[in-house]
Amino acid sequence: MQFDDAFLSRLSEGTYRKCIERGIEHARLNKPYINKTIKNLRRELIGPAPASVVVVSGGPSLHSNKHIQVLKENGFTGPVIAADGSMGHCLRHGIVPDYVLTVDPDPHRIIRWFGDTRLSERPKDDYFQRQDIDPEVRENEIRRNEETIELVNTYGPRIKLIISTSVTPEITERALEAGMELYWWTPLYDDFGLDTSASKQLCRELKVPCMTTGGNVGSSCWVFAQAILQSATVLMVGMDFSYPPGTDVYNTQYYEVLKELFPENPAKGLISVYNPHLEQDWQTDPAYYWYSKCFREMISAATGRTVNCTEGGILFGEGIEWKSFRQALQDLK
Amino acid sequence: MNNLLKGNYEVKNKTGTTAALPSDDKQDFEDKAMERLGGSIAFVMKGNKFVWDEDNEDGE
Repeated sequence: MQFDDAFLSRLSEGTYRKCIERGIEHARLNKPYINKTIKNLRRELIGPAPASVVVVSGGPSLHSNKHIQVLKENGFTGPVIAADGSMGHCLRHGIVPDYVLTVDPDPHRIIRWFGDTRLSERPKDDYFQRQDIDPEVRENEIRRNEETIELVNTYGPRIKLIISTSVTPEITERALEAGMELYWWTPLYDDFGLDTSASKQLCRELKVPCMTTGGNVGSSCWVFAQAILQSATVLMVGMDFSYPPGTDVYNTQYYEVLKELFPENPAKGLISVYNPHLEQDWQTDPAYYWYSKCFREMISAATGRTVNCTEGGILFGEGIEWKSFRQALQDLK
Repeated sequence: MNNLLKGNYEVKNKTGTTAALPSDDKQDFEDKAMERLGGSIAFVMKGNKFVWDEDNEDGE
């Protein structure tokens, strides 16, 4: 498969088609719950912007490099921003994120990160079993889910949920049940400047600002750190956008689709990208490759430093410093 | 692809085989595949703005 401009443009359009209808439907269902927005949060933040924040995304390096343990050991005192898929891992290892972001409009999968109180009613799905987003969840799905429910109920009141209007109202209800404080935003779906813009229409209807996403929740965390917290330095962990060398295509996020496209060899849908910092080839798929392209597009608009401390993956290049997490935390002292 | 990877490094270009995607008469199949292969949420970047609001249509 060739991930050229034409292919990535079609992928971008496909993502839009997939999420726009459901995103708008969810936004209208979420309307009764909307109170504070990211604009309110910006006003509530008093004092100078944080010198540094840590963004915890859910890539496989987060686990293999034990970066949450590193974070704890180094006594980082700034804000921690977690993608929804990393919240459980943070809580299990003694870190309560200050902010958690959620954006994906999937009606059944994402709520698992909050502890799914209706797990037994969900359609059969091996999504969590096949991947390394949160390997601890694979061990015993039911037990881990119960543990997540308990952890989120315990620590929810200490977490500000930066919640997109696109998510299923089940997540909204679950977050409120757990005592989280909610701050709303809407993904920028299209050109806000156009009269026909769905984003602008939702903004008017819901009185909620729109924010650029980067195509996924981890990148949205980075945008939030830049645009709302206005941090001078953003350290990122778990931002792989790829799979470690040797990963079987079966254990990749889009295996089911790749199997349909290339029944004889689903691995044809992956490409290798050489990481010169690691001197390794990492495997990536169309969506993750698109995420890395989106990120590179956003980086030029950043006002603060971006330090990728993932120690894995394919996100490097101009505007992105590459450093070990331990070293980056040391340098802040 | 070369114009997409802009960095201060040499990339070992291993784009693999150009696979035979479904033919034109399977446009719908392709469109559906693109939706399923796509990301979590739409991405739009315009100018140097990340946040857009009615009070400030030029963004923040």
